[in-house]
Amino acid sequence: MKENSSKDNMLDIEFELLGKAPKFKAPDELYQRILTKVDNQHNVKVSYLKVAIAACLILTLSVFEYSILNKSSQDDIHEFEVTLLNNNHLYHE
Amino acid sequence: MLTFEEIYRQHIDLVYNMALNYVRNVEEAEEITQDVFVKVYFNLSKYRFEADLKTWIYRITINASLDSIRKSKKGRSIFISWSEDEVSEKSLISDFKNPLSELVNQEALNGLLNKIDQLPNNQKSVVLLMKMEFLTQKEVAKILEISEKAVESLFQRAKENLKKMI
Repeated sequence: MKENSSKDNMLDIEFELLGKAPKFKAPDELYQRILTKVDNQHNVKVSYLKVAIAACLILTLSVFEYSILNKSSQDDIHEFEVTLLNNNHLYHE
Repeated sequence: MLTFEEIYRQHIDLVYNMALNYVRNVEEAEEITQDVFVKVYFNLSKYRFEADLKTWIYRITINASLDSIRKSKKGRSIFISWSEDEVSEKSLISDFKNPLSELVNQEALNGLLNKIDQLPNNQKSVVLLMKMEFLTQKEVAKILEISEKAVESLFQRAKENLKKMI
């Protein structure tokens, strides 16, 4: 019991000391280093954005091209069918 | 609305010293400080109120410090003890007033910091925030995102653990 209370007192003194611990000043050049790091990260983000936009553009163009090609080939088939039907009709006449 | 530079000037000593208290290594503390402020820069718009900002800065500093400790658990060799030459006198913001008791105080402080270092992370955070930063239980609870009761219980457990080390 006595030992416990003496440990309590000791801890209180140590805690008091902890509150008086010296504070240190950060180096002055740290701000510049932070700004450089911010700049680098910003550039990386911009690069990622550029790549993403380029990828989206390529994808959009590919889909567009595919749909045009697909549509034109469908139109060709339709035209061919119509001609075939007409010819068939003429033949029977 | 504060500018980034104003926020930096207001919080730099808090972040740097918190990081130092956790990692006790100048280079690591500088690295943590940089990471914290880069994060602040990119998320500034989310924190309009200064109180929220301070709480958040404390939180990310603690998380960054714990991450750093986790990463370099084996490699921590250059510890700061407050008496080492590594930290020059001009880098001190405050110092012990009484030169006679200085040596004894430094020894005791280093001993206590070594003991605190051995505590589990959440107990360590509670002790550092309450006894070094003089924050209330309510403020600590907000920073650590736990209840005030949990803070109290963590502090009691930390005290018990520290007493065992005496």
